[in-house]
Amino acid sequence: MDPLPSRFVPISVTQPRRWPTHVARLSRLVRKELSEILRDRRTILTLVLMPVLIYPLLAIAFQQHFLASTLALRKQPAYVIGLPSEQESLIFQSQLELGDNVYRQRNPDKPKQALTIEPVLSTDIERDVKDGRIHLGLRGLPRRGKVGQDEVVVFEAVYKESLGAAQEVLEHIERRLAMANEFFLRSRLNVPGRPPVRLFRLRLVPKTYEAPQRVSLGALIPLILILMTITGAVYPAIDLTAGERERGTMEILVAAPVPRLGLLFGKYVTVFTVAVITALVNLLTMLVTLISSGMGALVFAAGDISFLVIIEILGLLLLFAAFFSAALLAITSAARSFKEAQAYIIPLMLLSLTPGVMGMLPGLKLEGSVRVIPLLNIVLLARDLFEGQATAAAASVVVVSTLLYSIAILAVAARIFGAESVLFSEQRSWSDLWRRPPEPSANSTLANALLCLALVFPTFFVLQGSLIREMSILGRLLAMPLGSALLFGLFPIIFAWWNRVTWRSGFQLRRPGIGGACGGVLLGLSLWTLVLQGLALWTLFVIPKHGTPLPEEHAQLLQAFRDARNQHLPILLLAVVFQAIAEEWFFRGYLFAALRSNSGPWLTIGGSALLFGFFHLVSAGGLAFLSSTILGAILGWIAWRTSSVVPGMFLHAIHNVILGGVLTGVNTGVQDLLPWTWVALGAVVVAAGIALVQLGSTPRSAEAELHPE
Amino acid sequence: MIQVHRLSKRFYLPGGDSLLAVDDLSFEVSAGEVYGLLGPNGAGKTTTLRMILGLLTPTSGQAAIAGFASSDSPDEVKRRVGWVPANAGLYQTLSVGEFLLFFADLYGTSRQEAKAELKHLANLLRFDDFLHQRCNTLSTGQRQRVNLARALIHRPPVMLLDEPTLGLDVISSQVVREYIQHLRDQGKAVILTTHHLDEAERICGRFGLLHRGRLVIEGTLTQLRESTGCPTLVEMFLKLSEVGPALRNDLAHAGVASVETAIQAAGCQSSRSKRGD
Repeated sequence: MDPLPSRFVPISVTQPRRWPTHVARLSRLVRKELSEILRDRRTILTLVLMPVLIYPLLAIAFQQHFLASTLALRKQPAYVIGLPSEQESLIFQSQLELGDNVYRQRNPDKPKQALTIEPVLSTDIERDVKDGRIHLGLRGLPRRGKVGQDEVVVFEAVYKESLGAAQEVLEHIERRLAMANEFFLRSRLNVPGRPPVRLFRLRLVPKTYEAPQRVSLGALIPLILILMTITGAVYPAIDLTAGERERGTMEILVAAPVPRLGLLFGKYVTVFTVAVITALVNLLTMLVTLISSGMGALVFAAGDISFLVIIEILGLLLLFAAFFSAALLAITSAARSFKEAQAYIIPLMLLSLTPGVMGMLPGLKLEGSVRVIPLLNIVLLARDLFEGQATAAAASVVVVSTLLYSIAILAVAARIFGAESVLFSEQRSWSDLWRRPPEPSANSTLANALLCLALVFPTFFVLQGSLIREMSILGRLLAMPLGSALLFGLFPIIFAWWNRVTWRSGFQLRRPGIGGACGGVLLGLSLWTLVLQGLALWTLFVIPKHGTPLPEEHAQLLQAFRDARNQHLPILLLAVVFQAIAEEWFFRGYLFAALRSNSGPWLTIGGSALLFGFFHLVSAGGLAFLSSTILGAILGWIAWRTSSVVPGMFLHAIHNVILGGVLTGVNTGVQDLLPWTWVALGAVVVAAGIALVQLGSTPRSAEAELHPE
Repeated sequence: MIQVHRLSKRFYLPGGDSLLAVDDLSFEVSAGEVYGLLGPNGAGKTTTLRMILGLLTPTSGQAAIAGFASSDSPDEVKRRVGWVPANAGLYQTLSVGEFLLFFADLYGTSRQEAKAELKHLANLLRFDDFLHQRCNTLSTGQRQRVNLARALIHRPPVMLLDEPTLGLDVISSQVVREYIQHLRDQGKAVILTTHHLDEAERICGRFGLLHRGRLVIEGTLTQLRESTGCPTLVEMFLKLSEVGPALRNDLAHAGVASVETAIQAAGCQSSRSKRGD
């Protein structure tokens, strides 16, 4: 680009980063967007009227369906009894009729019973009973018995044991046959010689059939929630992006001195809020409908709608809303008109329904890689919650992955929103959105870094969960560094290359000062003592039951390390060193530099540490999340102080070598306390390391960050 | 106040083609000056204004407002500019007052100052009587007045007006003209694009005539008259925009390259010709 002549040389400014100002501006943006959206009748229609009308209608439909399926036989005009032949039917009916007559004679005052029996011919009694075509199957046994001189005709009664109606009709028939038998026996008393009579008896053959696997109603609810959350979020998302452009207000909005990411975030909060309000209205209407219609027992495993379940569902709705608001904004930001946005949203809605429908499949479980499949994981978690089968581990993976995806989608939306190619579409082409920038940049944009993170996350999970876990110890040791190189190394390298990010500043590959480097080494040598002692204390005292075994994943990981140490120590050491370097390259290099160029130390260090912890949460459980987040914060602080990724690499590599290579051999478990002398010595060295980093380095100024080398 | 230096913009079109919308454009506008950027449709006027504001990234060259380059310090530039694009819309469900105060907020103007400015602008642009009306009930002229007020609510030193009288009736156009004169009197630097050349003649102090992204000629009305020999902007515009460049290409092939020669060939007498040079 041509430089300006000297009289045009622009004034260089460094804007102070004032969070209160940003927050106040964001709240003003959101307030305006909300007031505009909520004054629109269409929003009110989707927000309130739709759920109020739809849920009662759905409840009626469900009730009809379930009552029809469970009580179908009850509603038939008579109890249906299947008999294999006309002759048997006649014999049986005559006996039954006789029994009825006896009953009426004995009870002339009682009204005639409403129970009516309809005999039908059945060639395959077993099948007809199983399929529910008949309540009861009766077949006469060929061999007739004798009781004294009397002949006994035995009918075999085949029925479904679980069917209440079958029991009812069976009891009725037994009573009538007994009356008929009694009548014969009594009438014989008056006949000289007391001739023999024919008696009828039933031999019961109860059948139990495996109930067919039904679609759980609990699995149907997430599908409804998806639909209703989308319904709430679609209109504001279109209106605040494509609609704004169509009305001609987008250009004046982006002409204001507010960063586009800020504008988009304001819109995201608005869409999210409307989606949540819609979801709440839905939830409330749904619960009222369930309780008032008595269908709660059909939906919830325990039959009760507890406060905890409501809170869990509410949390899920927030997740749904967070995900959909981001997805919808990304899509509608790319649209140039209301109509175009609607066309784009249709595929998203269809795509969203797919996991909703898949969630209804009884065989599909929330485990393994399924836990990180967007949307399907939330649907399955919702289903498990309704059915009382959800686990905390699976839920945490679903929540973390969904939040990460939402952030990544939002990052894509930020790239699209207000972009030249969308805003001034008459002059631009779509390819401009993904064109390599002409000028190199010092750091990756936050949007690109988060997008990279969102790609790394599921790949990491799939690799770790599906491939590496199945391998032998040696295979795992070899696959671990290769996988790390691919994920934490190659992904950001490709992103940085495509966006012309300068390697030195974009990955914080600056040479550290002596103090920073030595501080990193000292911390690497000593930090493990505090980390392990902290974990042991946590396990012993914070977890309520003393001696609670480690979470299964953590214990497996520890055991795997022990096995690896015993068999392949050098390879293990190389693998953990490589792993540490790769993780630093990404978390304190590429991602950290992008965060740093957009925010202050708290957000940069805290954000990178949390993301670092999340990765370990997924791979090794809750305790690993805690320890990794703390370690991530320390590594982040060093990266901030030294403006270099190198001291963190020293620290992390040494830390991993000690934990992975040495400690697994001497320590029997995380709950074992280290000797306090070790801890005291460790603390002294940690303090020395911190002091060296603090005194031996100066964070780069905002000016230097804005105008890097 | 406004500096444009060798500004170019090339748009890449689907299919691999490209369009040079602005070609090596340079000019300056001082405080208290109204600069008319004129040209036919597609000449690059709006693209130039958008680049000055930082909404479009220049392919080469730079634009600066009060010393701040739009590519390096877009927020500083935006803070100093009041932008009135052609066909700008309003937030339909907000009232006029809410709409203007929202933008004042975005520009960091305090509530108290914004309210005082709102009162002043309502008086100046005559929208006191519909200040509390929702924007979707306003007529075209009323909407444009609100938009002009929106661009001025944060008291910017620079105004970029892209066809501000587009679609307005005589009375509304007169309000806009008075508004621009008011801006000039207040010492603001104004760039105005318009197809109403008579209006431009009355309002603008200097003119730049664009054709196919290039600044064909620039100067005050007197300077333009002298160099083109055309008495009115309309005639200059017609000669330069429609006939001039096409003819210039033809003449270039014939070895005649100067604009003046082309203009003479197109019909107007140049001052030099009149003087007999």
